[in-house]
Amino acid sequence: MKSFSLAIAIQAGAPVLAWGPPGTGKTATIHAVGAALNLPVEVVLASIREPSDFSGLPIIREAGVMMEPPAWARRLAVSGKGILFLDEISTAPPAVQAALLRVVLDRVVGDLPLPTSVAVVAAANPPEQAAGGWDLSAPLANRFCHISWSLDAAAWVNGMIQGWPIPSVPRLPDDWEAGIPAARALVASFIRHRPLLLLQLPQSEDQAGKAWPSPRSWDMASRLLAASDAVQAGEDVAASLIAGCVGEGAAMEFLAWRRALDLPDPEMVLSDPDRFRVPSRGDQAYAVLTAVVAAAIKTLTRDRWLAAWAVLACAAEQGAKDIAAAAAKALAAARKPNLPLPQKELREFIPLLQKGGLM
Amino acid sequence: MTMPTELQAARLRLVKDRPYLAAAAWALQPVEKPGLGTLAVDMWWRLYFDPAVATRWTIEELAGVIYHEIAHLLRDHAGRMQGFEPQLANLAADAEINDDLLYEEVCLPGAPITPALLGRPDHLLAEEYYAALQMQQSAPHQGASSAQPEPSGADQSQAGTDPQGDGSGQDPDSAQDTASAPGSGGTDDAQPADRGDASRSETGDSDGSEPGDGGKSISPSSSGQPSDSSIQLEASSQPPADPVGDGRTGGSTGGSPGDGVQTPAPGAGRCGSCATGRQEPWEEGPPGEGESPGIGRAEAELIRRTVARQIAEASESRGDIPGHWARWAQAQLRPRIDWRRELAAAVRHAVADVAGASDYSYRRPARRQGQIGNGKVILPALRRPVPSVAVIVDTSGSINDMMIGQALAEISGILRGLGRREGVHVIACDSQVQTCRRVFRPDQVHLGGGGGTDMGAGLAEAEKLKPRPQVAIVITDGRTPWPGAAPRGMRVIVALTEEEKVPSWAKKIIIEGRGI
Repeated sequence: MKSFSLAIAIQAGAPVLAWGPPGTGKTATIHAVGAALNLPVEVVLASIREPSDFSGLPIIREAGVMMEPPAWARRLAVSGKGILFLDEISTAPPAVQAALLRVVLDRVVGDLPLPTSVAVVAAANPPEQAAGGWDLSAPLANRFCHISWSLDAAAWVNGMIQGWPIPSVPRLPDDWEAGIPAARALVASFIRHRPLLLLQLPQSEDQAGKAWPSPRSWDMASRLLAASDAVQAGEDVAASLIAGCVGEGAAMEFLAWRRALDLPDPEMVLSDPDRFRVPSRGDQAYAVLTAVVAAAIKTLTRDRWLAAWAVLACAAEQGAKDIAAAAAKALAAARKPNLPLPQKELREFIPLLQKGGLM
Repeated sequence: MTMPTELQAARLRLVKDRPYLAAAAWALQPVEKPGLGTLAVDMWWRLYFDPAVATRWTIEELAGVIYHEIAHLLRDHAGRMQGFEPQLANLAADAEINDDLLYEEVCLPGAPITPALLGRPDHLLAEEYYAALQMQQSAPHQGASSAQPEPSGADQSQAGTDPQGDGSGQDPDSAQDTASAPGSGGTDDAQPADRGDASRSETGDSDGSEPGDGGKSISPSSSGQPSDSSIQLEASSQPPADPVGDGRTGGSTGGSPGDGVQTPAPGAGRCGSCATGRQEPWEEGPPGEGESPGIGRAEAELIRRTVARQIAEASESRGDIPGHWARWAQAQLRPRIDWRRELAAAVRHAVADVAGASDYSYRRPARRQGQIGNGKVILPALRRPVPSVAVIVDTSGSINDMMIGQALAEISGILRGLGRREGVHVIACDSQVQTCRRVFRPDQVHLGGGGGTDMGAGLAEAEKLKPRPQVAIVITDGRTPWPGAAPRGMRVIVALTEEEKVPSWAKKIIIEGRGI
């Protein structure tokens, strides 16, 4: 999954930062992904570099001081594509990190702009594990999509015994960018719903080097969302990419909100009970049915009462009988004397309710 | 997938009794597995059931089992126990849950694993029970179980086996293993009344069964197979004359011998991968398409949050929320920050920010100058003046020595990591400075004094030190007057043992006696 998310972010042009303890195969995976995507990988160890290696070596010429880019930047510029891999950036001194800001987001080294198709990937050891580590500065952290590199013992054992598989990486279709406007609209309407989540500066210093929500990182998240939708990556991949941009908390809020968007509106369901389709996931079915019952109870007319029972019967028919029974209990309890007792529908649920101790 | 009425009713009953768990209970995706002989849940929230089991257990017991499995999922045992030896991990996870459940008087079938059976007190974490189990196991068996996933492989390979039989050979041999487990005498042994007894019977059993295992000359190493003694432990922890247990084992082996690799026994050490994070042979794979696609990690986290929010809401209105759920919800919604990490980050920042911390400077030309570009390239040099740090400790009596020792150990560890080896000035201070000396290890700290508090005196003393420290870390309970302005040229971090006000020029960190 890590190489999967990594490949998506590389192709979507989002700078990636892989966090993980030393010796867990970050570098090897990035090389493998580069090979699979047919991109040259240029490794630069940030911790042994000087600021001038990224901001350019100042050279006095007739025209003034030129900021001369180093050889690796020239190679990338010549090949026109590739992966710039910045290793060990959390052990780079603060001045080097500051010099990296332009490289990471704008892909400019010295006076030389790198081609836009050059992807920036960085790797870092968590500060508590790095020897002489520095925390990533908050501005630099915000420019990355953070992927945490956990170790999967079972996969390692398999790899040791059977050899390391070439990671299967998804290739973004050429028109994946067509999905960006939709993803942006989704993110924008979420921010309209929760404006406070647009910008949340990290509160404590140990959070400063992690992902946090800002207009820039939400923009990056919407790109990655579009990219992962384009290759039909699973929910987990999309979630880890979004959380990598805006942080765990904001990403969870966003995903929960997006999930709730998928649920049908209870009033719509009540107006046309026969066309109701139960969501396949039990917890979602439960959320919809309780919402329908609550809506019906709120303004209880004869029509809505009967419609609510029809919805429950419909849900029971589609295999969600136990879930419907829980909702039926609440609905039956709200019955007013002028409303008819829905004999047929209720009889369906009675044995279940009795067995479950609800009657 | 429709479940038998009994299971549907059991789930309904669970939701009625504990409405705050509804989101998790309904999220379970039923999968029918005839011949499984029991109920089990995998780490992707699939509920495997044998239709036959529905009638064997009462509704209350079924509800209890579902409740138990939901607890595994909500507490994320699959994530926490990953990489541990699965058999022991499952026992440990069960012990963590069952003490709470039995306290709530939840009905569980058979004999659930309890902390008492493991000889440990209630209310520990699964990780702690796991460590205890490991100790018990390794005592009679030197080196056989060093916690790594494949300990038994090393053990067995001595018996002239070859580690080839990977994917294909696993089923028959593990089936043989299960077949041998009940027969090897574990169940007939005495109930483990105390720990000594249990370990003794264990030794006997494994001694007895090992030659037999070796004789088979099939390697059980690849399938995460339990080492012998853990089977024994589990078998012996079930009561010898348990009709439910017997029926269960018989049902599964009789029903479909190829299937019952390890009979799951929820609540008694075999719950499926929801408790271990290791996929069992009879389980379906990671989330995908289909009728019961499973629930991925991100979705599961969303469900956990929903449940936590519902528990938090419910505990405001009703008083019957079990304490362990209230605490769990609290931890989910407001995760506590480990003060050690926060303190480390604050110290690193302070040290990095003090004037002239390790960084590049154009003040002095670099040594590379002259080698490159005929002297026309202007290069900066790396300079790293070592910042001086003072620690001011409140000795007024309200902070215990252990806490101070912990905080000092953290601080010195951080500073060593940053390349400081000169030791730290530790100033012991109550209403006036008691001692001031340079220490190199936490155990060199000598604290005296008591009565009255004024950290201002300590900061003033720190200002007088030569060289003057650029960073001062104050460890105090916070009930002290502070100077009106920050000491000149000094960053101040205040490590508080309880929530108190500190001046705005200081960075506040709350430290606790027991971090997470």
